[in-house]
Amino acid sequence: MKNKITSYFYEGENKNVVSLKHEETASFLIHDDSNILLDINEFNENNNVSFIIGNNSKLTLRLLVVNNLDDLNIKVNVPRGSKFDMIVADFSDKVEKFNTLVSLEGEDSEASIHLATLSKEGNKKKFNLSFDHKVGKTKSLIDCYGVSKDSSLIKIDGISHIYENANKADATQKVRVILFDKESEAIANPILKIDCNDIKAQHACAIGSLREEHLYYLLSRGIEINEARSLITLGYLLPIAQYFEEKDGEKIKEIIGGAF
Amino acid sequence: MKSLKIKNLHVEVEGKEILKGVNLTINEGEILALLGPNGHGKSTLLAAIMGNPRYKVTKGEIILDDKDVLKMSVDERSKAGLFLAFQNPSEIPGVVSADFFKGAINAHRDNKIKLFEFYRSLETACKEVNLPFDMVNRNLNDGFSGGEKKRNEILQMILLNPNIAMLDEIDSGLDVDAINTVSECIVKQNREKNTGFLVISHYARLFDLIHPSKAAVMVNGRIVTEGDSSLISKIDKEGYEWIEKELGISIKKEDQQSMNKVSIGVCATKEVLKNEK
Ligand SMILES: Nc1ncnc2c1ncn2[C@@H]1O[C@H](COP(=O)(O)OP(=O)(O)OP(=O)(O)O)[C@@H](O)[C@H]1O
Ligand SMILES: [Mg+2]
Repeated sequence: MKNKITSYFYEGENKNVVSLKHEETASFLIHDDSNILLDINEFNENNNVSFIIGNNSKLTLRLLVVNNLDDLNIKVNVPRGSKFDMIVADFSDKVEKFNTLVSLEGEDSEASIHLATLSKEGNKKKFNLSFDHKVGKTKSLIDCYGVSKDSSLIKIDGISHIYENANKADATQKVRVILFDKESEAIANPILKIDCNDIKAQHACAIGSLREEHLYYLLSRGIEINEARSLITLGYLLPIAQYFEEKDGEKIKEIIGGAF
Repeated sequence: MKSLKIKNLHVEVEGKEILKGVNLTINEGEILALLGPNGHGKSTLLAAIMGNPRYKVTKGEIILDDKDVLKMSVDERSKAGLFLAFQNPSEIPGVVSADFFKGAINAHRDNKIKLFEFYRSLETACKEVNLPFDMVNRNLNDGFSGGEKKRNEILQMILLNPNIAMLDEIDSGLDVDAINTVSECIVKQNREKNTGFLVISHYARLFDLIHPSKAAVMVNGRIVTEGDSSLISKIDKEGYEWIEKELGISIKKEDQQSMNKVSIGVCATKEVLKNEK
């Protein structure tokens, strides 16, 4: 089977929307000194995507995932003075494989991944979010929120690797997952791999069960059980909406409400 | 007139009988003070009335007007006009206070409250309990100080305007000014909205400020005596020993009870932490 290969070129200040086709391998080239906002609004099986960002540029990538993701591989190169931000709001029924590897290749480069994911009705969601700090003065952030209910799974791992001599690199990993029932599961263990002394790193992963006490507190104020669950879920997942346009934000709110 | 009637109530927690036949009536418009030594079932009574799933009613009745409260779910009890200010309110990360308040208010009405009206009543209520308004943007009770949590309970009471409000040691952890503020809110709610109160406290200071019309004492899982507010001053001066002599009841000491050493508030928190691990 032959892969379809596409290249996209961007420069200047731009807002763009693309849909990825079946088995598509796409490379996105962001020119120097550009500021690009890119929405990928559709994925298909076996998508391999790479982003090659120019110097002193900024790329913001937004994915609102509502269709199933079978296999998505994202590779990003961030050179000197550039910034990459990826926002993923995942409300699909399946994420078989979602791999991202961001390579911080030049000084003063920065990257972040914000993820909100809802796993319901037996869904399985598997993410691997990794960063390579190849040089010093680079900064990375993973910030994930997950809700797993109705016997579902969320798995978030990855490696933030700080290379030797990457002095003053700064890596932060934050993952919070809440489990709504005993049958649901979460495995969240991104790791920090540090080969350099003079760096900053932070790691905070918390997986917790929905506490009966919390639910009781909300119910005691007249809130119905499903609404109580939905309030707690909104609290975890809605903050991602701030990164999207208002229309998509409303959509996210609706999807969460509809899950209860 | 609305009233909450508790008849021969027996309640178990984790297989152990805590309430052993409680009889008590609270009418709309009155303030009933509930006193009693530590660990004798006061909070258990409120938990059973509100429907906390950990407390099992094995016998007896709870009637609000002519409705069977025991048949209602927790949220239905709230909608029927019952309110409980918790001894230890939960911290709920992720849930923004304002969203929660709005949900709670809407649950009590047929049409959704208008945003403008909501913020106006929220602002007024914050002023009354003396909490800064920007508190409503924070997560529910998350990182609130002990006193702020208590005031937040009273704030919710004002917003929900219940027929019967039950306050479990609302004065514990409050500084002198806050006790005055909270007392004013209770008195106002009682006078203006005719809300009936069941107020648990160990201290006469709160009762001196809210002037209960009745007082009851719980010992060994039963109401052993009821009277007017003179009962409160008597306990304040003499403690509970006279009950043993005058009423011929032997008061179980804490170390004779199952979960001794620490008061239940602390126990419950520890339990939860253990379960979570
Ligand atoms: N969830 C629970 N699990 C186990 N035991 C409990 C639980 N709740 C209450 N108990 C036990 O029931 C008894 C009564 O507790 P309760 O909290 O009703 O006392 P209280 O009168 O409110 O005391 P205090 O004045 O100290 O608040 C205690 O022995 C307590 O340990
Ligand atoms: Mg108590």
